[in-house]
Amino acid sequence: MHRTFGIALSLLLLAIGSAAAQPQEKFKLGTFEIDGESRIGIVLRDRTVVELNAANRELERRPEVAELPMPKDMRELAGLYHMGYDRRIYQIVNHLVGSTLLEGANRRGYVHELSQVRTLAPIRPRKILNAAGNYYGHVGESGTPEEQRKEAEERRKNRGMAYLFLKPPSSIIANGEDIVIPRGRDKIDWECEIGVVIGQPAKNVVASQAKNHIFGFTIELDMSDRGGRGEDPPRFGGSDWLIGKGHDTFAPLGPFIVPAEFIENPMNLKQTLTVNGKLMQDGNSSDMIHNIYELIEYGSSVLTLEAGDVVAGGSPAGTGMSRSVRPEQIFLKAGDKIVATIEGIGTMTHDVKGETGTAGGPTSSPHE
Amino acid sequence: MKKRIPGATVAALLMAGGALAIQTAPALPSLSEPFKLGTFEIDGEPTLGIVLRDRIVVELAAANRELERKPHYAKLPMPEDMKSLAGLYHMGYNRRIYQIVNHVVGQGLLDAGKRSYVHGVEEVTTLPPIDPGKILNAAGNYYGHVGEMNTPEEQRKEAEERRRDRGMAYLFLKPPSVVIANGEDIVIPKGRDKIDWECELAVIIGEPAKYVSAANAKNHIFGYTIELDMSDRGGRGEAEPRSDWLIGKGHDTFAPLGPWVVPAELVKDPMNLKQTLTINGKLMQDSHSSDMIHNVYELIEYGSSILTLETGDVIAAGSPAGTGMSRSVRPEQIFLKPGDKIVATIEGIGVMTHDVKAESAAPSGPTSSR
Repeated sequence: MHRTFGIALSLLLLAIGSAAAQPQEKFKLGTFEIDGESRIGIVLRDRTVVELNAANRELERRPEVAELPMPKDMRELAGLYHMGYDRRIYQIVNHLVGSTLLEGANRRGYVHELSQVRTLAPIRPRKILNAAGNYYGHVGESGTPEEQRKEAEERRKNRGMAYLFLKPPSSIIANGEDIVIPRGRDKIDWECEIGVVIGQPAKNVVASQAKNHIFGFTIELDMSDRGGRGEDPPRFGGSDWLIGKGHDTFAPLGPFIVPAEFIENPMNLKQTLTVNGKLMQDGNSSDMIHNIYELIEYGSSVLTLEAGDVVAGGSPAGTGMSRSVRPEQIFLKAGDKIVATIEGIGTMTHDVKGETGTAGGPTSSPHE
Repeated sequence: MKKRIPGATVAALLMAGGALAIQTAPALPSLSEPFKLGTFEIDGEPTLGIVLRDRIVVELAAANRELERKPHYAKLPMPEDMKSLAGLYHMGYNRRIYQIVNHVVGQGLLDAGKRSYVHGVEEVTTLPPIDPGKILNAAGNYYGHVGEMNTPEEQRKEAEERRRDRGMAYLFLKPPSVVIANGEDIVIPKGRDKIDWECELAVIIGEPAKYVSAANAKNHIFGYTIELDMSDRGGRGEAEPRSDWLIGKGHDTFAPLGPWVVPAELVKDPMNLKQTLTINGKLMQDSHSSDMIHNVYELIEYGSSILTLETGDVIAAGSPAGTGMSRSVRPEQIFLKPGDKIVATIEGIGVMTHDVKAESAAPSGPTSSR
């Protein structure tokens, strides 16, 4: 055996064996369409996608690496990540980086440019739970600046209990896909939110323990229809979360998931959203009324949070309905472009389209 | 290169007046007896089963394999779960299930010991029939239920108003993770003391639906089942009461679903079914699906005008009169307590039986600590 090769090999073995507790560089995890199938990919440097399953198979060919069956989708991985799969992914990353398999002559067939594959929604959660009225700058922002300040002050004096509502998983779209304004609806609004992806299932978990149940972080745009039910008098106090939040395409999710260990402090992240280049939301997660750990405590005190469930932390100030940030309300129209960024998590880009070829608005026509 | 279309075919198409003159698939074979479809734990695996006479379970995949060994049955891979079957049923899988039923009945294979894929329903564990992607429940959708927490006169007035103007339907989401099977315990969350019952007719979506009119909604229904829309009337305990569906409807175990699914073609008129619910043998709900304000087809129109109803989604049509919070049916409100037994029946669909238990070893009530 060639001497330098032998040294290189022993160094590599060392790297795989011992350094598995630490990845050589940070990564994100995503879901991609490759060869017509949806596959989990490790995203490196925000531009390279490594197929998890294929990369793992190559690693498993080494006698010192145990066989570990890879999960079929991100929801499974969310539940498995802290059960040893994090270590295996670290091993894969270290192997690829250490052996320079990402670029040049050694580049593997399972390594793709991000631009060459189709990005899908990173996860298909069974439940999406969104916090309502959870930023001091957002509560009451449809009122005047003074009214908004007053409401925020009241919440600072007494935060009260958190509030979560369900958003249907069928409304999820991937980064880059079009947001569709339903026909007949003219008050469509944006909300740039931090999405927490649950790892280990949580029931009656206190805030101080909640960290152990977080798999990672992503972005959820909680697209909103402020048009309401149009009833007089309003039933259920005029509240209708399904119409307000549930239209198809109203939950852009992604672009990827950042494993929790790579986010130093999720409660101190800049969140911005622009519409046609104009800055509309310019917030920080530190403005949350109930932080993400408290939201997990709250949610898990009502029901079981399962692996892969998404809990979104609520919207910062600057939504379209705001009258405290801007003098006039602005809602989305076909042709608009939304760019939303959360520091350290990623950027979502979406075109807004009108709906084609259908009837308009929620209906339940009389048929008798 | 394009394939040339033979002139004769083109002429035939033109003669058909624009519509394709194709021979549609033959009608479904006659069925030797009605059946239901369920999910069961058999040999430790969730397994699709055909339920006959409400007491015999025939494993779908195993029975199909036996049939496929005969040369005149094409191979048809069986779906792995009810959600897949919901989408495939009207794409030819109904025909195969009819063939299986006719085969096992006709050959006398249901008798004890004849086939290893035939079980007594009490010998296997009944699981929830389906794991839906979404559960959408109608609120305030029976004339007898609207305003029933008020006096009888107030209830009558509200029902009358709704008869004059039905208004728009209302749907809310219930989390799929709270589904339990027939026979499993309903758990009262600690610190919550206003837990209530609602016996509801549930529709399971087959072909996905978006902007489907009530007139066409039937084509998107795979089948019917029972959903108990267990409810927490305790609210958020805030000075200013706010609507909160998650607390009101979303606790674990709050969506008993089943016992099985009755394929839509075997329910003659879903809008004419008796619905009853008893607590400890006492009749609490005694109503009829004909009391619905928006019928199941209109609910599909409404839901599909907001979002896509996907294969396997469940739409529950709302509760009839007689919930525990009613003051119009009974003078005093009654809520559930540990030890209660609920039996809910919908005519032609089935019977759900549940014991009510207290939650053990958990802190109480919704919290978000400082």
